[in-house]
Amino acid sequence: MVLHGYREQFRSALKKTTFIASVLDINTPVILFDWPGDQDTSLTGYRAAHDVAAASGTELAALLTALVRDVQPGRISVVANSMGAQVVVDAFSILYEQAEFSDPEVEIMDVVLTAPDVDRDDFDARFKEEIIAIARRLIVYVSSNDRALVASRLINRSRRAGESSLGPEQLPEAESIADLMEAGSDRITLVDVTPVNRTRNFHNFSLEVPEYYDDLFLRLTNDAYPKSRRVYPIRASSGTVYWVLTRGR
Amino acid sequence: MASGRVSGIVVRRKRILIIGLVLFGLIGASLIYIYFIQTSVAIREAESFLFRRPNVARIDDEGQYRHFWVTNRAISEDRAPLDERFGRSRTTDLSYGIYETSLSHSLSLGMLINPTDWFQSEQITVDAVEQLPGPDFLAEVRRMSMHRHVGLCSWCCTAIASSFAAR
Repeated sequence: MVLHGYREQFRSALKKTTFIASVLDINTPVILFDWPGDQDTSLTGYRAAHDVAAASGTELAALLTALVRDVQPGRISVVANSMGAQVVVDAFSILYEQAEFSDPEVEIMDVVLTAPDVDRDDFDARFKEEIIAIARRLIVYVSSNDRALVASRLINRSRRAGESSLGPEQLPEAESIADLMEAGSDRITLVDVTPVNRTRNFHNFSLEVPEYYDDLFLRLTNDAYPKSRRVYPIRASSGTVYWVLTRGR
Repeated sequence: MASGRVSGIVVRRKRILIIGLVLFGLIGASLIYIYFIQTSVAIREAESFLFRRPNVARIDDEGQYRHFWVTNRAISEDRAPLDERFGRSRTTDLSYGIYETSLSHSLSLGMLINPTDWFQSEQITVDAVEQLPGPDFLAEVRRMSMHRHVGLCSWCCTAIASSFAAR
């Protein structure tokens, strides 16, 4: 299942979903969950889109419930970009309250958030626990100098979960962002795409960066991550591991 | 004097001959290069659609795919363009459907990803958008999920990746 972010119209959402399905190249039915994020391009419009995203969690939760109950697929993976992540975290908050989803059984295999435009404190305090209670794995892709998230941070006056604002050599900051994860847990993975991010605003890497697709393909199709890949782990003092994608040969 | 003039003419002819041969060689190499480049492009295009993995979503061998959509947008019933029909306002009722898209044959495996080019040059086109009742939608997703199988390419990639992981 694919979700897009702020300002996405229906037609472009269809096309981008086709693009992602084609490039990711995994043999599975693909579902676009489309929400009305194409509000005005203004501060008011951004806030309206954020409110719509949070409210749309109700409908996404209803859809996921129907899929789990009626379709019973072997696995469900949810991939959400930017403000689409807000829809996902609110949907999982609703599912978390349902007895059917709050049991130890894992109903959804993967939740992938790319450059999530979600309040980091809320994400850390609440959302990540709720997602992990339902999903087998939570994978978050972040990038430094993500200009869209910097703007969002100014508007919301709080850090966003998708911000990393660091390079791989900046271990103290890496440790800070690694706080999003739990030591010894392999269920939350944080991947920094900064060294391979060649996009203009550093936000749309989930559409434009081949190394991201390569990494995501391997993570979705393998339980253990292949050790030959050009990815470096940064092990923080707390024991958490933070991954940095690097350019291929 | 005469012999010196003759040797000068011979040297000049030799130069002309060498330059001619070099030019001939360059033109020949260019023609061979163009020939093989075009062949490789044709092979790459053919491979990209023959060995593509998402068989479950593929409608035909011409690059047409079928995917699902679900939205909580308010949808008007008229025949307005797609982006007007699927408006900006939210509704608590979900709408379900399928859509068919075409991918241009120039999008090949091994080519660099450039979504801006893909979108601007209309290499991805939305051919049809159909709305389905909720139960029909779920039945169709179930049917496609059951027909999902791991293709040869996917099997190879996974096997190779697993062997690296096991090291």
